[in-house]
Amino acid sequence: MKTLVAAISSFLLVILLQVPCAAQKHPHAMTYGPAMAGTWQALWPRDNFALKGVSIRVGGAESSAQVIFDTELLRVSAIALDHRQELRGTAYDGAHGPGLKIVGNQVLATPVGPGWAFAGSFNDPRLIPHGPLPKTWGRYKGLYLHGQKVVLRYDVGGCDVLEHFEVSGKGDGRLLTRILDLGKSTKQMTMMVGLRQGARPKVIGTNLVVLEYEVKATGIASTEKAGRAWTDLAMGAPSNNDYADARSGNGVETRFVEGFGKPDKKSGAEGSNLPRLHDGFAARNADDRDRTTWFRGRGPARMVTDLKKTIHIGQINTFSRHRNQRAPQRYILYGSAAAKAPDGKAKNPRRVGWKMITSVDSRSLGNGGMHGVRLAKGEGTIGQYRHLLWISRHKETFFTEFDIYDAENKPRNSSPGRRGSYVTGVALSGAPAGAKLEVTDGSVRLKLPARGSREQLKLVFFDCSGDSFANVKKKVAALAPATSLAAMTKGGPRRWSDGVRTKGALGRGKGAYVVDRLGIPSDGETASHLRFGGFDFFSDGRAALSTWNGDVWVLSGIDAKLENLKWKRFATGLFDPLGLRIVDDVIYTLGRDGINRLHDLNGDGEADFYECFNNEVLMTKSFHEFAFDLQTDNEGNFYFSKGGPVRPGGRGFDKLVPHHGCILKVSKDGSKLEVFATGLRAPNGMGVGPNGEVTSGDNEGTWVPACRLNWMKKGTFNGCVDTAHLPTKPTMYDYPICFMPMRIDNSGGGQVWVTTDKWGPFEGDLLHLSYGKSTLFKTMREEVDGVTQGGVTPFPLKFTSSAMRARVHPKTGQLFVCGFRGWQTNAVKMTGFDRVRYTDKPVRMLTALKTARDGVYLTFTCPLDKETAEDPESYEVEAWNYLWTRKYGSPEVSTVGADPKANKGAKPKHDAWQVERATLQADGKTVFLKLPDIKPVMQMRVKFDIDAADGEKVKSELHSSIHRLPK
Amino acid sequence: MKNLGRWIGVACMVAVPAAAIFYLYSKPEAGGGREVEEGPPYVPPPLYSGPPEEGLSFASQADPKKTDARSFAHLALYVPEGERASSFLPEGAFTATFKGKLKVPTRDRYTFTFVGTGKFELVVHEKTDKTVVTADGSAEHASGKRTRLKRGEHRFTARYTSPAKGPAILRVYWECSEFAREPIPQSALGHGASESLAQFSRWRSGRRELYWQRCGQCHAEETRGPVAPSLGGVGARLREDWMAQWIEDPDTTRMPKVLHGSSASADAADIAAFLATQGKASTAPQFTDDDRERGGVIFADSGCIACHTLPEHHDEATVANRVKLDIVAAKFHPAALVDYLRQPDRHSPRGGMPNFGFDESTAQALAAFLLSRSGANAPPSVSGDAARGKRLIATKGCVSCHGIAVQNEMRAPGRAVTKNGSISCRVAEYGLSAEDETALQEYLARRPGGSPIAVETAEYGMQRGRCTNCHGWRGEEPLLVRVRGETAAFAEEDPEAGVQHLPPDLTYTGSKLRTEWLVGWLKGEAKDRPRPWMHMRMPVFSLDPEAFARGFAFAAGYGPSSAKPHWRDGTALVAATMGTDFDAEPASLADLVKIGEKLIPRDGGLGCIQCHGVGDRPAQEVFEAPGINLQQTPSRIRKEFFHRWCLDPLRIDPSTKMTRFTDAEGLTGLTDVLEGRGQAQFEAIWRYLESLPR
Repeated sequence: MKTLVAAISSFLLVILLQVPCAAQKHPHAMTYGPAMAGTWQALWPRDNFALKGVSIRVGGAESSAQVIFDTELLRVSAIALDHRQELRGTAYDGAHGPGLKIVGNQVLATPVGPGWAFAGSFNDPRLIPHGPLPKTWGRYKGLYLHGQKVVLRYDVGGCDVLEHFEVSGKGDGRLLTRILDLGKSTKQMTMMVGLRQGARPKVIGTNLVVLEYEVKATGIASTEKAGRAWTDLAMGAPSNNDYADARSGNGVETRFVEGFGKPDKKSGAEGSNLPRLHDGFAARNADDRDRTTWFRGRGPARMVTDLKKTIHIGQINTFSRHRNQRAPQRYILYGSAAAKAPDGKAKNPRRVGWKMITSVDSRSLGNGGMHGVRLAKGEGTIGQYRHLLWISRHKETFFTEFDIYDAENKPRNSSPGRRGSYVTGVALSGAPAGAKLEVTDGSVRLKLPARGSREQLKLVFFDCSGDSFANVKKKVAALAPATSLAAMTKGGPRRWSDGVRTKGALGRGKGAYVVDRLGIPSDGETASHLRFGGFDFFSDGRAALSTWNGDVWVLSGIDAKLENLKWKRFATGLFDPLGLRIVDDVIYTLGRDGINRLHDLNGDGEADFYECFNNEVLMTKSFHEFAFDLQTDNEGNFYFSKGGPVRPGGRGFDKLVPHHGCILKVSKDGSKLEVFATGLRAPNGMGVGPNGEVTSGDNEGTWVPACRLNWMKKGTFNGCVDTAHLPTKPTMYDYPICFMPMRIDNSGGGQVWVTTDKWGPFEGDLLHLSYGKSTLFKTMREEVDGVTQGGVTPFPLKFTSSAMRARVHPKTGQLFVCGFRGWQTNAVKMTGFDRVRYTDKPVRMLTALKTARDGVYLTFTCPLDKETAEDPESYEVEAWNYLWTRKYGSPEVSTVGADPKANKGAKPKHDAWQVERATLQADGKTVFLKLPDIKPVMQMRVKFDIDAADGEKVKSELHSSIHRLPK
Repeated sequence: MKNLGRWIGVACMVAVPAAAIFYLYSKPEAGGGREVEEGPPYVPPPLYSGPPEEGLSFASQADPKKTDARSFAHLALYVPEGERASSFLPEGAFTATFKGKLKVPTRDRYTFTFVGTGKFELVVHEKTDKTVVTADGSAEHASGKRTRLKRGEHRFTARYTSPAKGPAILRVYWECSEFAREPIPQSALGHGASESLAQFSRWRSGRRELYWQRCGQCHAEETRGPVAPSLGGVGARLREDWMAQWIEDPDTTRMPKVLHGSSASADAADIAAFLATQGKASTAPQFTDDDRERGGVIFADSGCIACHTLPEHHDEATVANRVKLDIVAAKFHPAALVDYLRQPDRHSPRGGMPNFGFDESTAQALAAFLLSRSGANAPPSVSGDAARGKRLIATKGCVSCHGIAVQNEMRAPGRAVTKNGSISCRVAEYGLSAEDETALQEYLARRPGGSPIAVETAEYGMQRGRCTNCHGWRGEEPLLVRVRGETAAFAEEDPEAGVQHLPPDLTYTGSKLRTEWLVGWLKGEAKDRPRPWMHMRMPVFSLDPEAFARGFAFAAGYGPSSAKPHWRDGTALVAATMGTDFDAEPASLADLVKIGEKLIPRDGGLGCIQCHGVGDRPAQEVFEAPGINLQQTPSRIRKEFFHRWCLDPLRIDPSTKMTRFTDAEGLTGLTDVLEGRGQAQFEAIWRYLESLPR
């Protein structure tokens, strides 16, 4: 109960401190909107994730609560009466693994299952616990923004539902209200209202349910926080009269274990010994560096206490004190009765003989202050031990004392914290006749009769001590009746400024293409973290760009000189939108939650309705299963790529669902989603050609021996066996256009087709981007025996950041490229938006590739100098294979004496292919290289260093794959 | 390239006929004690005295008749003042001639740079002879003119004359439009076999055999040979039955066979019976199932399989330069095995098994695992006469090599000799290969003397230590990669663990690691492990760490790195060798340190911190490939290598996941820091890292 009391009594303080520790590390303070989509985890019940969740901030910034709405299951997964959150993950603090969660005063939750019953049942109808409910059951429609207010819209069995949240009051009498605005319904409906872990719901009349709960210690650990002095603790202040105290003469020592967190230099460590933990002195203030021990460095900290003999441990008290997150204690305690302590470094201590005693987490008491943890088992003992191993999962905890009592001398004053009775309540207000709250299977449900017209009602939530319950009931009774929410679905006041102005910088190179850099406002100017992951153009030439942290910005003023650029925030709170497409001047974004369509209802330049266009893509909570890019074919169908749930560390996958590692296709009207192709790993970007050609890149990793440039038809399997989604394990993949070695592409981006003749000689060609190497490639394709193969050659350009997405400007025909730095890349700038401008100067590049039985034809964009073109020394040809295994990537291995399918016997080596003859063809631009060694290989590299007919140098390289030789 | 590979192969065969695999596993032909055969008197082949052939040949300046020749991998030398340049050369000034083939990867214009002391000339024999760089000894580096070279293998000759004073230093760099200045890599150099190489190589082998066969323990030789395992208290360690079997029929590559004839079995049993009285076995520890299971995990994750086969494997097919463990249960008393695993060098200081520093519980688990799997191979039970055994030990020469409290009664012979085309040892039978025997004969016939220099010690130490079983070396994958799958069933480490979970490649050790650091590392004294994420650990070998570390560096042309900045390892030389003028840097050192600090994070920097921790600051976003904590960098690696690595990591290690931040002009995307010059930015990072406490 201390949780609640602390949270409410120090509410203002909580508000001030609500930026959680993880967000503090995140250098880009960003204001997210009132609705923030993501995979949100609630504190309880266990594994209560809203996979496609929206965290709604209720109330103003001064006094807010939060509701997590699960848009797949149409349920409120959690309600918290404050707004404390932990924002972690690759897009936030770069962490691999953890995600978004609420960490505050959660008062209610719903079980993971449908939020509304269908035919009276709450059983999850889905085959796997992923993806939205069937359409007949219900479907999320989107959310409206009205200033800082949010209105959800969804459908339940044909009934249109609008929902809004409000918060009122302070402290123990605080109320959170769910306002439901329900459409007509011919059927009776039942809504899952929620449950409270550890509480028994009790119906009091038709309009009130109380969930009473007792605050008591769980397990053997009880935690409490002192108000003003250590002596406030029920367990007692740190003692100098326990078995372990230095004065006891028992010689107890606690030593830290090498190789983990190291004690801070000021922690008073003597060698490995940490004397302050048993000195009987307690920290005098929040930063008493003379009496505390804390750690730095890698991973959790470990300590081993030697009691010098095996004793019956009656009780252990541990104490910590500091500001912020350094006060809570979070450790696992192991014990051993052996004469010699088992290895304290063991990865799994249990395997070397440690017995786990308990795990402790006092974070629920809130940050800062004096934390006490008491370990005791009623009247019994904790056990018989000689050594104790402490694994402090939060190494920065400022421990001041470890008191250990033997069974005989267990302290008397050890009641575990304040106990008491508390009440979480759910009240129904202004409900239509026949509506009532019920309790079934331990959870509260709302029964609604059929309705002939729209009706509104309020559901009120509160959480208070037994004393203030009567007052709260009065407040609930005095609530005004609910009114229609329709007014809030038409757009509201603007949230942001008119825009930020920047200037671009025109490129100054001498070549055929130069890179113009569009000026990007700083994060400070925008209160947002700008990293552009998708963009497209409106028909008038303006651009819309989505950012990784959930914004959409509209950029105007893209003219020849780039001197009057204006950036206007259009939307925020989207779920990792790494794809954006504009169709008929309406913005569609692709996030992990699917495709959203953004509407500016009142024409003020900001989106007011984030419409769920299609959310049928299946996803899990894995940190690394991004959804990438958004393209359309000429029939209007949408395509995007969905990565596999790569494990932290990069190798292998977490739990897989059928859309992982797929190209997904969504019909033009958004009604249907289907799998187009499978077997991808982490395809950051794709392309759709003017004739419906579907391509994507992929990243080296599990079953992807080197980056691939995929060429797909419906049903193509792109090589990653884990995400093949085929009835039997495939023994061979469908060929990519080509593989690319690490050196030129270690992490692919999207593709773009040159649909204009204004951008040099490449109309109709496919371009590919490398995210990892920040490169734009010209691709070459040919078809042999029905198999598409080809290669890539780089444009000699340097971008501001990485190269992730590209599109052709509808007015000028110039190419634009955006990218950011979010994971490993050679890009060093956080983001960039560049224009690749064709200068009308001659282009001297390789442009086409044709394989013959005994060599290759290379065609260039310019006439060549006969002498250098026909000198075999001007070319260097090498070939190698990769090993297609579940290992992370592959070495580059010889094509000789090894079977790449058998994946063995191959030496890491490139084979040199002799150029027997080079012959310039009649067109003056094509060279035939006679290669006696030519054969199908996964990688061929041709380096060339020749002169153009005008004497300029033509020097670059081709990386290609040969899957088939012509007969 | 095919040809080049063959040359290197041939060269290695010639240079190192006692390749470890042969040395340790070849069995002698069947038969009893070697009798001296009648035949024509042995005549050693004539001394080679022709012109220098391919390879690296030396001549003393003081006495040009004093020559030597050996194989080379680098176009580089480092000889400290007052030391010998090669085994058979006297101290003092010398000339060296490198002859071989240079593999030019691509037609381009190349610039060659000499760095060092003394005079130098490098001539590439393309269509015509092209002198690509000369140095007259007046400057510490000199670059030649840009020279166009065709792709392919070209013969070259490099002549070097050491300075009269100071160390002899030679390193040759090259650069072209494809890559920045770098020492000519070993993969671009090769040379063929030659008679002079073969001859000096035989002498080296012979000298080595004289040492390792411990001829000097009985014969009056200066070289005594390595200490043999002590027999004091051996009865507490080894089982009697096994000792009897071993004494009767030892692996003669490790111990000579001294018992012959029909009484050999009985003699062996008697000796074993006596040895069994030396000490009393401790009570066997209580091994639990948990121990056995954990032992398997330790066996797998420590990479034991690189140098051992699984205990249950008896077949020769799987061996491949590994030691079989099927006899462990038959050989050791259990408690002694635990002790041995904890401290293998305690009774056998020159044994092959390195010390992993296992603690008691780990050693116990490992012992439990090994014993549980190797029971099948028990030798027959014997019982002998201990008193007679003691006599035999006194008379058969056992005491000449092994420490035990028994008076040696064997008559000391004179110097080791060859007789009538054969090595004449009347007592023992050694497992010498035909090549080794020839080499030993030749050495004994000529006795050219000399002792191995550090470069040779390191080369041979690599074989003895089986370094390449775990480490990649000159483009070859370690044996471990091929055999790791054998323990996959009980490994805890992900069997798909990538290259960063393998011990690092050693190809660039000489130019990469600071010698003091390497010495400390080899001694097991390093404070921090560079790759703490690895389950495998570097054990301590019974090597000469100083000679080993110096040998690697000297072969690559680098001296021992000094703690203080010095021109041979400091900014000036790095600037010269890397072609960058750091002196023109406008920033002061303090400013550089500040800039360097800002380059570490992702925001506004190069983002080193994504993969590399820096001191207490952990890496932020490790994906697939963890990076080494950068705080260790300045004390661990040479600055020149740091610069080359940062400039183009894939050029040095094609399998690295580290990205290249510079473009062909050496510029990074951070255009607003030090004008975007990568080299200057890396220098700032280095200065920052140097400023951190160690």
